[in-house]
Amino acid sequence: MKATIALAGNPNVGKTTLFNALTGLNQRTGNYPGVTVSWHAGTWILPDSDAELLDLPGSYSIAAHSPDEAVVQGVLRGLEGPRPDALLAIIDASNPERNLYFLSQLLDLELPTVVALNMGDVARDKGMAIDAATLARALGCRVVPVQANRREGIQALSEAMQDTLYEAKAAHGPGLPIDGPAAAEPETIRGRYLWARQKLVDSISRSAVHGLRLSDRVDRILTHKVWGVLAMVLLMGAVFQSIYAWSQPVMDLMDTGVHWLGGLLLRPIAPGILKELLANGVVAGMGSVLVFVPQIAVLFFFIAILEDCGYMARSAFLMDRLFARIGLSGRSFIPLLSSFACAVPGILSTRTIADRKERLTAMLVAPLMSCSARLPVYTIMIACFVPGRMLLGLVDQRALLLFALYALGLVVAVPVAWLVRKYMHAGAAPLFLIELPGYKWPDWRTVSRRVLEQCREFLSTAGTIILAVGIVVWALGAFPRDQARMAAFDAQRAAILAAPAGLTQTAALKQLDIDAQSDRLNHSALGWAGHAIVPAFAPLGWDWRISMAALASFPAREVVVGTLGTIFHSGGENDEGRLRDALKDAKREDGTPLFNLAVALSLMVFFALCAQCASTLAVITRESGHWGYAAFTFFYMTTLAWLGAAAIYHLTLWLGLS
Amino acid sequence: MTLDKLKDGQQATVQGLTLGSTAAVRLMEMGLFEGSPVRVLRRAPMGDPLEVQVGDYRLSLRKDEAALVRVQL
Repeated sequence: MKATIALAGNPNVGKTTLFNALTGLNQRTGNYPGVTVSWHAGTWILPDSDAELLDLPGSYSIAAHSPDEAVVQGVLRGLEGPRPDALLAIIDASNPERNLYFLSQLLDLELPTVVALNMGDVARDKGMAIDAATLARALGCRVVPVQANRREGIQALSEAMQDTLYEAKAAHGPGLPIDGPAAAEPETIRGRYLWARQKLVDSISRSAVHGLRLSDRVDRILTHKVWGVLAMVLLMGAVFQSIYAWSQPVMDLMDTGVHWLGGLLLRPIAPGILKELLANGVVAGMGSVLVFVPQIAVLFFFIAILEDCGYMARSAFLMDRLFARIGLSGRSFIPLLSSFACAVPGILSTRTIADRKERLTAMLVAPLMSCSARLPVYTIMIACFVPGRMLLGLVDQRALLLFALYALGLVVAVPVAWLVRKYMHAGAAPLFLIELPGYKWPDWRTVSRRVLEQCREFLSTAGTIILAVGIVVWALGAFPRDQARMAAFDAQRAAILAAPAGLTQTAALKQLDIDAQSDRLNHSALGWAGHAIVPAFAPLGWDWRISMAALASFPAREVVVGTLGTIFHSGGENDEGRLRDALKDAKREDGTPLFNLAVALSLMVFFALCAQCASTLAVITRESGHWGYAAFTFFYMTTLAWLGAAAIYHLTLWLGLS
Repeated sequence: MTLDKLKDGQQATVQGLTLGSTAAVRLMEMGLFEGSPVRVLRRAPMGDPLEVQVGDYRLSLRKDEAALVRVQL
């Protein structure tokens, strides 16, 4: 039988780096049932046999205050499947006392244990040294010095683990309670720290260090009231810019690639309903899944670097006060900031928030941040219906409006988060107690693995839901189909083809295709719903065409420009100039223009606040573990969007601005 | 005197904690209990949270939690 070994340790001690060094590329990941704590397992090749190494979440205690800690305790006690055969505990030589506090709990679980003593270089830098042999004698188990980031000590660690497995001798800690109220008694905690000090007394040596360490000098700047904030603004600006700038070309390339490949694969299939399903349902659906991958990859590339080098904790430290007022903490800063690019990676990154209530709250407000998919609506509406005028000779009012739309989501998020924290996830504010680890160079293997893992997980979980939704939406827009109408268009096509070929004929055919598409959409289930829902959208100043466009963009707001093109018979999104003219020319039944400033504003505010993104809802379902959170997000955002759009519409009319 | 009242750069020794909350248990587990040396390094831009040296590492905590820690200069 293959032995199972659990790897446990404090956060920021190089546990993931060690895990990667021991298991190489041979890894699997997943989630513990019922909680959003992920597990990683890999094969560790020992001298005589292979073992299964299970990487437990980093934690400071096994007293089960958090889901992470509950999982650590559950696994080590054999409540989450068979109990591991042995334990590999990693400790930070540069901060031994607090690490030995946790180790004392681990040893009290009485599993055969090997201790990996990591970060000896940082300890030396701080003027500390720990003698592994002396510590091993004091602890009664094998202690192996390693330098995980340089892959040093790995062989010795494997040999020590092999010997420990052969002996199968349980380790012993101080024998204090590890569970229930007794574990949290001040006497127990003090007892463990005293045990830690006593175990270290012979093995540790300290010498005075002169001057400030490099890490401390860096920290002095990066957490400074002025320079720290300035550095953070610049850094976040760069991160944010890269999500846009680096992702966009790759996204466009992927989009082209998917459609090219789709076209190639579908060529042998005869035109008809199957081909349409495959082309517009499956291929387009896959395109809409893959399009998120570059943004997720870029964002997690930065998050992994920021976390690994120690900056993530500093950004939380700097921003905490702002978020504390609405019941969140500095940990929510990066997830919410990333949501301005796209809520999908933003919500995935809430995994860095330890407190579950805070994490859920951040998840619920993340989609309010104006993502890049809203920009096309803003730009086309502003370009068509908002005159360019300098305000106070300083700023173009169109730029100001665009800024206001971006700010709107943020401003609305404040009371929403506050209310959610107060009524839905009531309870004490999340405990903001975070370690500010020493700065270090990021480990590139850890970073690249994190990026790959996040992309793979997105594709396999949320991706499948998004694909399914894409197919359903295609079907709603394509069915039911009226044979008589289709026959009529076929007859017209035949008539055009009968005429002499030339430029006029090509243009006529193109227009006929657009008209046929438009006609089919109008008479599909989606078109029918657009007509049926008009009374609900009338207070927003919308007619059935705008209603249908908004309805069709509920699964993905970025399709709105293309849908408007189809509805207004102006062709797809490739012809924005024509669409602008069509929108400006559109009339209501009474002959007045369909769009004016009030209608444009109401449509923009609606798009700013509405949850028109099936992918976001799929990711919320996935990450919260319950579809109810997605349903709530959809409901509250749609309500706010409707109220906001109605308010701006009537306000604009009342002010006589239209 | 409590930890949140220390000036930036001031060194002190923990005398005890106001018990009875999860926060207090957490603080103790993180190494803040009777006899631990602590030093406030600095405060975040709006005066909260604090960056504190606890033993061999640095911890960030809010004023509310820091107020649970009684210290002596």
